[in-house]
Amino acid sequence: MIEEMDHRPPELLKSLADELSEILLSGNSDPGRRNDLLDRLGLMRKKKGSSTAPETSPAGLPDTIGIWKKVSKNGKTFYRRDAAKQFHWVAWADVQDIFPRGSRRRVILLGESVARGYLYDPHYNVAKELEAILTSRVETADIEVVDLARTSLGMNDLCELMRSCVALEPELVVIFAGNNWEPDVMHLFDQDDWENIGEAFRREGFPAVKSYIEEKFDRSISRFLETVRATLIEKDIPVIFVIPEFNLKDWKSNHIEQGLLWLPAGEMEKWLCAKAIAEAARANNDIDIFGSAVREMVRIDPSNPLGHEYLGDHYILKQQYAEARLAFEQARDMALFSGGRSTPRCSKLIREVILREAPGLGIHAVDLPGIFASEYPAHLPDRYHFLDYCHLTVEGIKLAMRHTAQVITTVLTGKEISVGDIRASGLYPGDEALAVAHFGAAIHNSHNGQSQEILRYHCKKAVGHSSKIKISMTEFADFSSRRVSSNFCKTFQQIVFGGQMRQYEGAMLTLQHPRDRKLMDIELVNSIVEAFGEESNTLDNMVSQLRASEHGVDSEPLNLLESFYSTTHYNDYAGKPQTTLFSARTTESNFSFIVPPGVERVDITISCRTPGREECGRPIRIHINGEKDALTEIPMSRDWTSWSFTLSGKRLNAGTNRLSIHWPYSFRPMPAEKAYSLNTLTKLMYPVLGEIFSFQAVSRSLHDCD
Amino acid sequence: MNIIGISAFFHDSACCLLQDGCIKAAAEEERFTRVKADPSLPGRAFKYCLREAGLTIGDIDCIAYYEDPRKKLARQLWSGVLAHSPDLMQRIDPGHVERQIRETLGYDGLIRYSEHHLSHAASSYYFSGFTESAIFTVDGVGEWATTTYGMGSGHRLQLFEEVEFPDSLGLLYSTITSYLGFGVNDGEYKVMGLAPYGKPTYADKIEKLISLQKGGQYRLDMKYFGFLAGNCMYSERLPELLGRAPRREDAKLGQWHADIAKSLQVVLEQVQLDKVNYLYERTGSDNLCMAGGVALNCVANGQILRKGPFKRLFVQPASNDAGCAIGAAALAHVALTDERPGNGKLRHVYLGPSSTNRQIHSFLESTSIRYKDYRGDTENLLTITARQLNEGKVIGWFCGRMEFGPRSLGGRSILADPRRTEMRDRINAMVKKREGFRPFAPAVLKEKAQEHFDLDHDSPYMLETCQVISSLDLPAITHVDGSARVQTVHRETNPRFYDLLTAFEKVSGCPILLNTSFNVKGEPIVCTPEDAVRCFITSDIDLLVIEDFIIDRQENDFDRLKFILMHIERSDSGIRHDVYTFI
Repeated sequence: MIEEMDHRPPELLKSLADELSEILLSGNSDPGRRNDLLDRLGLMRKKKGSSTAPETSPAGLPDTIGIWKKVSKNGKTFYRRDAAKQFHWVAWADVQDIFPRGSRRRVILLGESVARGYLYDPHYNVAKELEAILTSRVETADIEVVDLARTSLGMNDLCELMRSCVALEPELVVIFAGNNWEPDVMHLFDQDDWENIGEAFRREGFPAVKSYIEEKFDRSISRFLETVRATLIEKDIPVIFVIPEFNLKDWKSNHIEQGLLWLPAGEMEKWLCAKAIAEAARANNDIDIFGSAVREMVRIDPSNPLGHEYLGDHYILKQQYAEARLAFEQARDMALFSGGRSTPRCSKLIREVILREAPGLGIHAVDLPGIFASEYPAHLPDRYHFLDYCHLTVEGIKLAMRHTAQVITTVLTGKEISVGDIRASGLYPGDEALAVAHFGAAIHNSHNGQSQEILRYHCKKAVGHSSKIKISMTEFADFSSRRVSSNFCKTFQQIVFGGQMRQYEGAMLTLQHPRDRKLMDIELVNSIVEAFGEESNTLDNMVSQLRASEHGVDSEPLNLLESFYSTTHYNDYAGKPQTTLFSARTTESNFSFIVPPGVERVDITISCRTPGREECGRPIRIHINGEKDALTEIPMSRDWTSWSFTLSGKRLNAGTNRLSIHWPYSFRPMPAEKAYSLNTLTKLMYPVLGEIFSFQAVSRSLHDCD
Repeated sequence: MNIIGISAFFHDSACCLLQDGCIKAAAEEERFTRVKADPSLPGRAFKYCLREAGLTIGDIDCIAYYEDPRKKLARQLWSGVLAHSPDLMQRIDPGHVERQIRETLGYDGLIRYSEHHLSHAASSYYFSGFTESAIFTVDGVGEWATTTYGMGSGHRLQLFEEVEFPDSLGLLYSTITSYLGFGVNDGEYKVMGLAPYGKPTYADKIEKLISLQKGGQYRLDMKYFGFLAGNCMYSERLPELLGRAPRREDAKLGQWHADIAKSLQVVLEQVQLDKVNYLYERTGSDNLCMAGGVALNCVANGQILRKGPFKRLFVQPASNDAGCAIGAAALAHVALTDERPGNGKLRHVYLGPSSTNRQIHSFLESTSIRYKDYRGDTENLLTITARQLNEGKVIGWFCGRMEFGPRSLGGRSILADPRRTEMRDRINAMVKKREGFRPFAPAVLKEKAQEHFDLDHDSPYMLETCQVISSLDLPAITHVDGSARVQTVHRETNPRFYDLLTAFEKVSGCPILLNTSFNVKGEPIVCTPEDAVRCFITSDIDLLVIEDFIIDRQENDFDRLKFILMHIERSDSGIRHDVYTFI
């Protein structure tokens, strides 16, 4: 619309621009005048093109394959780790050079952290186990496994790696992936998608949302498999796809994933009632009532993983393991719809699409979920095979690679071999490496919101394997208990440069925390102390003193909304912008604070509201240290209101104290606004029950006047 | 009455708290998020402001937003700049400003909207100490206005004329900035610093880009500009006119570039002088208040004061969009109380957060850093610091509340001896990693200012340049044309910095220090002790004075800590360097 003479739009268009601005900002949905004005201003939107086709491989050797770059030396061309990418080396195999294929048959392993042997690598990993298994058999004794697996590899990067790895002349490629695909798919969603999902939710509730997202996901996975075919199969490179399994029994959802879905009037109240009944019945070992209550939970709200987890527990009590598996799989898969950033996982949908399409594309599948189900009909995958949500223990790796080796052998030799004839290798990480793996697992579990029971398990395992781990554990307990960012702490330096924790992605990256979001790791540090056994007193004293001096409530207001006190894990909602408020989407919010010895009274002030809801007789209840009776009650209020209350005497523990806020649930009509982003969709589907603007604790002498 | 002012969504987001008309707190969001020029809603700055005043969200009477989203959108639609956005509709979110304020901040009370240039005008006038004043605001663009003329009297403020987009002095300057290979919204200051090295050889060509019109008006010849299309500031006609291809960012600077910079500066000053003369004729006031990004051109400000008709000049220290937060809050105060805000002239801009000795001590004790504790011994701390400066050391100085606005004024500063020739190159090499031509600025004891600088009034905000007349040789802060951008330091507003200057004068005979901002290239100025220590360790600064503690590099081995700190993931900048971020 630029006028040639003046090189600026005509003045007379200003009034049209004014009018269009008014229309757009008023949310006027009548497209007629709007589109007319857009057209006259030269702003009509072009149609979106189709998604880009996969890139074709460039001719000749690629310059890089992952972190390895092409090098020519003494007339030979090979790939060497790029020093400029040194800080990424920890995510890949600890291999300096990859040479051209020689006389040995070459199998390339591509995949994610599960394929790295996360937490054992480099002492032990999937590629080493696979190669050891294969080379122990006559028919595959000449196989080498080239390890191109990378921690945090996404679908797009996997495609790129597939293309470049052809240059290494593989005889066969193993892809062990699927845990990291959900974020890549979610990035494909645009404003239209969010609007469509929002409208689907309004009309038909959660099932329509699930259906929409899964359909898009299904297509994305199909496209990926087609890329596998075009990139590898068409070049006569057989592909074996190892479908990951999940720690179904031990991995639990967190409060982000358990956010309460908007349901029609009365329904969520029923769900909460069923939940209460279920929990009481379980405590009383009343399996039948437990079962009927959890079925009711799942019926009312199939989106909440908690219902499915309880159902799974019920089935385990009934020794109905196939049904339990289905329930826990549902729990795992609901994380995709929660609006939160969940841990990596391979959903049932991914598995089904691969199993459905792989045969037609010439891809061989190693279906670990199917294998686990058949090998352990009376058990579910748990900590024996998994260190955390998806990363396998040594036993898990050996199981997975025996089955993978079986398929490799069949594909390469044409002979059918029973997996029973394939033995795991004799490779085992040493005790120190096992200790580090379990301590790393304890940290990983803790930072993803798992229970103290599993933290204790891993800490004890770690110490049981090697007492040397206590050094790192002590250092960890120290810097975790300090306010200052971990990067600055001398004990953090010691742990990074000591090298003992290098298995945990080099330690530096994994033990850092986001800016202004450090955790105090109370339960983890307490688990560490417990694991020290007879030597725990010294560490316990150190931790207690440190907590008191660094975090103890004193005469300066302590902000309980800081991450130290308000959260125990790093998971959060994925939408942006992030609110500055503490938002509760479940009926209970928990806070911790430290009371130093000698402090007799703590005054707490809270500014909070229950947005859009206000009901008499339904107060917000605040409990201290697990007491059944509320310490105080605050009326629901739409508006911000500030309240103060005091803790003193027996109610105060020296050391760690826990405040629990119980938000009352009541129905609120769905907001009218359209969803146009993940953030707005999350607000629509998972309404906020309570918000806190400020929450402070200050200590006073008992003799101070109010 | 508690009023929050907010600027956000384009660049330099900021928040301020006006309590009964007085500024209690103000801070840019970038200082908290460490995203340079962070445009996002200033949630952290908001929480800080309330915390500083001991308030909670229920205590806020009004949130004032610094511009009119509807008018801004109209201008963007008219200009066509949104046509080049990938998804027009996605960027237009009905009511997004209000929604974000309500949802992100949790605020459900009164929201008032002011216009962009009115916010600039208010940020200056209401805190100038003038009972009446002419007002001149100049920037890239707000909603439609790029330049405005106004008058303030008592609590009333009125803009009576404006120049509309795309005719913009700010965008003219930014266009040449881009042409010279510097980042837009970021490099204008560099062009100003380059100008004294040049001659106005190409002023006649620059004059072809802009023509003076009647009254307050001027007009750009848009055939030379490309910013309407949104991809590049200039069109292909500009290199044709100037006779040379645009400079690449990494290419060497030569005399020709300096001459272009000088020519631009001269033309800017000519236009501004013409317009302030017009403003004087219209208003008859002897006082002039200025704001808007172009008001950060302190060389032009100095010319306006020296050659223009006004006797007194006040420039808002945060003349960029961050300062609009203050202006918006001030306008809301007037609307709600019918009273003028401000408590006389703005005395200082130390409006950000501070840290206590206790917090710093606890922090240092957690680290492996060796430090010295001077709590209760300020005199010794100052003497030692002064001696170190005299020995040629470069000092990181963290003291009191953080400044608001782009200048460091002795709260978060890097200090050095201005008498040493090598100091400019040293600081550039160790911290700033910036172009060698850029001068550093001096801080001087207020009482000694006239002895060393051709300055007959206070200049607490480093917003004007003047000639160096000192008998001392001050190569590190004297620009090639003999000018300096001076900060006069006053005991009432920054006693410790004042005392440091006094201590330095005692050991050296020089009451002046080189004062530059405490940050490394590409990062915002430091805010917290952690930021300060990180900057200190990852640069080569010799000494860090952080309240009552001194950390000496020579007494420490920082290799390991430096390794860790340098490999923390850095945030991307909030500014896009090729085109003005008016989207």
